[in-house]
Amino acid sequence: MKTKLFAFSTLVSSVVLLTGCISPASTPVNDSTNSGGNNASADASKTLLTIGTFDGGFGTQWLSNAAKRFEEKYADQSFEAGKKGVVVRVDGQKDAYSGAQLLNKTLERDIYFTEQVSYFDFLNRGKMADISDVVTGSLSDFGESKTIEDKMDPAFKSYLTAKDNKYYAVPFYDGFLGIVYDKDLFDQESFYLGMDGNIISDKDQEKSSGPDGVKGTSDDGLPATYTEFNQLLKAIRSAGMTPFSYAGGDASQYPERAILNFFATNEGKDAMNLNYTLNGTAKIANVAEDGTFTTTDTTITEDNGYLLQKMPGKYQALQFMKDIMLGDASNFDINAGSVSHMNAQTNFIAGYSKKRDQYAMLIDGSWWENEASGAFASVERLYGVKKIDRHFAWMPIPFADPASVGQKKQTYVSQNSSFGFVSANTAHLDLAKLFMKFTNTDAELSAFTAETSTTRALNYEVTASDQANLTSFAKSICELKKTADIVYPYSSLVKQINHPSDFSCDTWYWAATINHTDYTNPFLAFQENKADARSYFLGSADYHGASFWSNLK
Amino acid sequence: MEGVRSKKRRSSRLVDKKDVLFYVALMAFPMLQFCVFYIGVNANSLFLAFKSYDIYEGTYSWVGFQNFAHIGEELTQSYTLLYALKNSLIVWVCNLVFGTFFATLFSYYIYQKRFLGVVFKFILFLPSILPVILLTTMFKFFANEAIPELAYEWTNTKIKGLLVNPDIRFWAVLFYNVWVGFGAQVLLYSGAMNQISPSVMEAADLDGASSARKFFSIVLPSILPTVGTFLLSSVAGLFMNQANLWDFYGNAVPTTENYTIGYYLYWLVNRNPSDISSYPYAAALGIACTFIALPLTYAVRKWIERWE
Repeated sequence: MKTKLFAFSTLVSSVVLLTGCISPASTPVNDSTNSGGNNASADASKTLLTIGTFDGGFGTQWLSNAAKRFEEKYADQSFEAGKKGVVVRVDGQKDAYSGAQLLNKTLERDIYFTEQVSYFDFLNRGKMADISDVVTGSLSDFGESKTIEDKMDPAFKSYLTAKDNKYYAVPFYDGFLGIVYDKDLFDQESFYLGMDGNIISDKDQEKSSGPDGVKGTSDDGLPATYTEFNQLLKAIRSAGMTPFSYAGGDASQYPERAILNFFATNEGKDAMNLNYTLNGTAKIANVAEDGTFTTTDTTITEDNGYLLQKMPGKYQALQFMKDIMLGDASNFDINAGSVSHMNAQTNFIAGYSKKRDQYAMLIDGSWWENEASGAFASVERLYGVKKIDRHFAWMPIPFADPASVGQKKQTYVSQNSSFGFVSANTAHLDLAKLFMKFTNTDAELSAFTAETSTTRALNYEVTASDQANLTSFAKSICELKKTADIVYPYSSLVKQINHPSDFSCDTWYWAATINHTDYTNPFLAFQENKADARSYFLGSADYHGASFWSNLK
Repeated sequence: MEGVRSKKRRSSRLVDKKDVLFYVALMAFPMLQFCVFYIGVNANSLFLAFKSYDIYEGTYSWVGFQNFAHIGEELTQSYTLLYALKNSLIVWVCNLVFGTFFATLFSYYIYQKRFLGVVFKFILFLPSILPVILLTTMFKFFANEAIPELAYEWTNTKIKGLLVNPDIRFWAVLFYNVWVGFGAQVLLYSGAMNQISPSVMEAADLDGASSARKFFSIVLPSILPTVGTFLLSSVAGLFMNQANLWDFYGNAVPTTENYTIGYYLYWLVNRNPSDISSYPYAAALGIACTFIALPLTYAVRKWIERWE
């Protein structure tokens, strides 16, 4: 009896031990879920390439489409003995495939396109394959004379090669935040500025030349200065509409991230890049008690980089946020901060169709239109208005200084940490590299834009055929990419690499200490009357003072 | 005869060996878990408090008490830690005073099998069997979307959501924490009350004791060990309680005025999920909190032992 009991208990213990040892991390992910490409199930006669992607605002469709084209292109090529052709399986998951999660897991896919990637941690843990040959190699096989490296911003080049002069990843997507406006509503209500700087009274009236100062372009009639923007807000309010739809919760930082581009536009790309090179001369503002400011030219080095907290463009952007955006309580719905970003998108889209509770603008990211697919579908179901019949566009950034209109370029900061990389564990390194090359050709980059209504963080032209299929919003994003300067907030300085949280855009640009209380969100601080533009600006310098700087090694 | 004895000895040794094997097989996995997830994790945290992490190199280096010195600097430069300490104490006191007070009263009501007592027990315990994230999500939608909508429907007034309104958001969080912890306490206390000998209560009834008298003279003294256990565990967890702030706001609690120590620790390691460089500081802060919580817990234990 005892022997039987012993045998039984040993069996039970062994099962417990065995099941305990098989952790979820080592369990293969069910491939049948969310697979893409043109083959959901593996074809044993073809080489299988698996791709994991962060299934967020950009979705997975762009990758599935690219996978299908890749499979067709290489249908007759052999990548391993006894097999011909390739099956690309796309697996989109949100949290499981974020960079933060992947860092602590065994990488089971051959390639990843994701965000929240701490590049140097991945590198130091040997998770990424060296793809220098892909990045610096010719794309002539795809009919291009440029390399992927040629399409990269210099900030990316120095950041990605900072460790050992090798590339282990390629930039993924652009993440701009800003203001989207409802073009249909603007056209219907003539929410445009005329030549006299006032809102036009009928649609046939001549519009102003907009921020670019050139007549006949897409920004005609849109506010070119902060004063004109205020005029626009007044007109929207007078029409009984709410100027802005925005969200709280996880998206509560969207307004400050949008305003960062106002700051960047006031400063320009070279000045903004000083935040990442810490080498050059910056204008530093001294703000008087009456709110006026003067500037002094200051040499910035790694020893005094914290002085950049007093860039005048930041003060002007804070003034815009406090005095214009939040200048009137009815610019936002009182309960706006409670809704999710998806609901904010739905409210924004639906208002025009239901003819009440109308919002003229949405504070969101350049990816919003793709992310709002569900909202468009529900609006179509409820009001019969299709996405294709609705027109939205990106609002160009007005200038603080009227003298800059038509003179300075718009400047945006691409705020994300998204990369594509080949897993160091891949058994199909050459094939994975080939796919990585393929997805970074101009044709595929253009297709990405056509599918997602937004852009990859590389320089490329959208083809005429893709342009023709773009939504009006996507066209405005393409125009932005073509005409604006883009700052990529990556630094090759060890001080910055070692402190990613302190140098994240939210903290570096917007953290402030006011009356011994720390804030990271000026929008909320202003809404709750905890600060004005000047005190927030000075509080930001206090937060990032000399002692803060000396602690960053 | 000798042969039989020797056979018995061999058999006994065999059984002993099998017993040992059985014991080892049974205990190996729990012991392994204990070693990895308790000893390993805590030892790692302890060492981490004296290190810093270099992301560029991917290496840790010893920095002595530098992380602890930063805690001192933070105390002098901003009120974040003081706010967090104050709020942690407020959450603790509210949970203790309101939670325990009402939980004992409700438990007594249920124990006395009064009208709808079992229904109350079910309703109060329901939150305890649902996942916390589900409850917080429900509460979040109720407080932020349903209440403003109802206010608009009934009074034609637009109001801010409870968790968004700066004047009341912390109190809304506090209310939620007391409410969500209520069910478990009721279950514990009513369980403890059921252990009281019915004859004692019958004797009290025969003596004409009122409900209040029975509660204060019999029931409360009888369940004091359970209340004491709850009190002790709440003191030990004083600095770990993030008061569900992360579930409500993620890493974006509007100001540091609303932080608790538990949330701040959580925020330090989660604000940027791809940055592990702040782990050593969080570890140092955790150890500093232990230095406060440990003597406090022992003092409370001594005090409870005096009750008992």
